[in-house]
Formats: sequence, structure tokens, C-alpha cells
Amino acid sequence: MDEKLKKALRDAFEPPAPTQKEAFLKRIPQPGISNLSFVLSQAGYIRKYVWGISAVLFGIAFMGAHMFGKDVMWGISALLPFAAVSVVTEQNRSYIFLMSELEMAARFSLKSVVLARMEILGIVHLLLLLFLIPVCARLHGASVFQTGLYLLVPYLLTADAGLWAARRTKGAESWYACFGIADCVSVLNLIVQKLYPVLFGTRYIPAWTLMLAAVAIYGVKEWKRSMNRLSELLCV
Amino acid sequence: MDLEDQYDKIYRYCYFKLGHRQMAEDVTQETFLRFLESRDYCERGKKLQFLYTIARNLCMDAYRRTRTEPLEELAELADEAPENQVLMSIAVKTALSQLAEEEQELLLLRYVNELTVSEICGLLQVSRFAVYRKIQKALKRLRALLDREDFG
Repeated sequence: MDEKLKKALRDAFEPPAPTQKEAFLKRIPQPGISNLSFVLSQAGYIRKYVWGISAVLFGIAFMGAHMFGKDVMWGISALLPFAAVSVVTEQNRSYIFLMSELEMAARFSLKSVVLARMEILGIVHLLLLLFLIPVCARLHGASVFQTGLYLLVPYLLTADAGLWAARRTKGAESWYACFGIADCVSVLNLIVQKLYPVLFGTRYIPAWTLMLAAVAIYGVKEWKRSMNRLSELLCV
Repeated sequence: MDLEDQYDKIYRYCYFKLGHRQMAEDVTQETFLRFLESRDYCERGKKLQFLYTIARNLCMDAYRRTRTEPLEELAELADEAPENQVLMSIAVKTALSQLAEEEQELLLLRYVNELTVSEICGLLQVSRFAVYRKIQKALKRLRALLDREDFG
């Protein structure tokens, strides 16, 4: 149907302007939404590069056996900090782009929105790690526990440092700080692998385990502080 | 679903059915209140169809008055729109009034309120083929009427 006829049809069916529309829409209760629908609706707002990083890691691990052999674990260990920082920057996106006040005026609280997105990314990264750790363990020849340590420590270290930096910097600086941290952890990881391979031996597993516990505990504290920061804005 | 956008469309539909502004507004508001009260609507895949079904049923229950428009409302349109468009609108309106109510309803739902064929099927409880055939028939008749007036 051509546009002229469509326009003419719209005009022909056009009713007189309603008089009570605005008043009615102001007092109408907002439609409810289930928790699952709300969480899933946030998936669409997570930026594509976040999914891209996870997909690249998955692809590298998948092709690792054919192209990199046992060295695939070091490559993945060096890339995992970027996956961690993508989650941190996503969590702090409102602050990075100075949109927190505006987002708080929206229908759902900023805290709910951030928690929903972190829930989605947390599940995706958990699945990613559950895939990466056994694959790398198999290719590298180390145990699953040992491989888990070598992958999780740089991941959590980056996440912790990223959360710390995001709380102390503003605007786009947060973004640069977080990715700078990921670069540093990644490069440090590669340097240590090359210069001090002995640190990845079974003798140092207790030290790695302690490091994992430390970054995990600190990570929980930093995450709580981030969530409290969101709540503080609500009280202003 | 954008409630404000759907309000305009449901109001347009109710006005078509009832031909009275106040009654159409009342039915539109009642439609939305019932839609929001329904426990099932949140998770229903066919929200739009559900909304139109409520509107349709309420219109059928409401008292139907004359649908002729006062002339001053058409004059308003003439002040703002280009002359050709106004003439075309008047011709289309005249041609529409010669179609059956069912045909008018189909054209309104499909081309003005932009419902999909599936949604119209669900609302009118007819098959996709039947809806498609009726829409094509209505369009053909409308064009024939417009051609007769040299506005096709």
C-alpha cells in the first residue's frame, strides 16, 4: 500500500483528541514485571564488547588444542583479566558516563539494574570458566585445581583492582584505569610465566591457594562497597 | 509495550466502534484498567491481542451512537494540511463509509493501528488466510471506490 493512501487512511480514522489521556496515564499503576523478565530484559543493555570478549576467550580455548597446545593456558590466563574488567566497567557504567542520577529517576532502581546485569554476566563468566578450566587442565597436563588457581587469581586480581579504581576515579578515567589495570595484570602474568616458570610448580600451590582466598575475600569487600555506593546515592 | 502509544491506538479503535468521543475515552480507560488488573497479562505472549480483545468486548457492550463527524472538525484539518491531502482524506473517508463495517475494522487494525495479521486473527477468531483475503478484498473495494472519484 502506498504511503499517500496509508496517510489518508490514518486521517480518515483519526478521532477527536482525547481529553483525559494525560491525567489517566499519570495515575495508572505501572505494569508489574516478574523477576526473571526483569533480569532477562537487562541482558539487552549489556554492551556487545562484553559478550565479544567472552566469545573470543571461548573461541581461543576451543581452538587451543589445535593451534597452541599446552601453551593455551598461558594465553587464556593473560586474556582473562580483560573479561574481568569488562564486568567491572559494565557495573560502573552509570558512573563512568555520569548517568547515575538520570538512571535513578527511571522506573527500576539503579541497584536492581546493576545487580541484574551482574547476575547475567556472573552466570556467563561462571560457565565460561567452567569450560576453560577443564580444557586448559587437559591441554596443559596440570590438575583442574591447579589450572583453576592459575586462571582465577589474575581474573579476581583484575576485578578487585578494577573495582577499587572505579570507586576512586570519575567519568571516562574509570574506564581507562580499569583497562590499564587489565593490561598490567596481563603483561605481569606473561612476564612471570616466562621469567619465573618455577612459580607455577606444585611446590607453590599453597601460596597460590592463599592468594586466591585473599583476592576472593577482598573482592567480596570491594563489591559490597560498590553496592553501598549505589545505595548512598538513593539516600541523598 | 508503550502504554501511551497503545492508548492512542485503542482510543482510535474504540472511537471507530462507538463514534462518540466521551464513550470511546471511557471504554479505552476501562480497557487499560482491566488489562492491568489481569494476573495473566504480564507473562502473556500476546499482550496486544489481549488488549484489543478487551476493548472489542467492551465496545460491544457499550451503547453505540451515530458516527458522523461534525463539519467543523474537518475544517480544522483544512487549515493545517495541504489541499491535496485534505481532498484525499475526504475522499478516503467517503469511500470508507461505503465499505462494510468489518472491512473498515480490518483496514483500521492493519494499516492504521499496525497490528500484524496474526494478532488480527487472534482478535477476530478467524484464520490467517481468511484475514488476508478479507484485507485484500477491502483494499480492492476501497481502491475501486477511489478510482471512481479519480483519487486512486
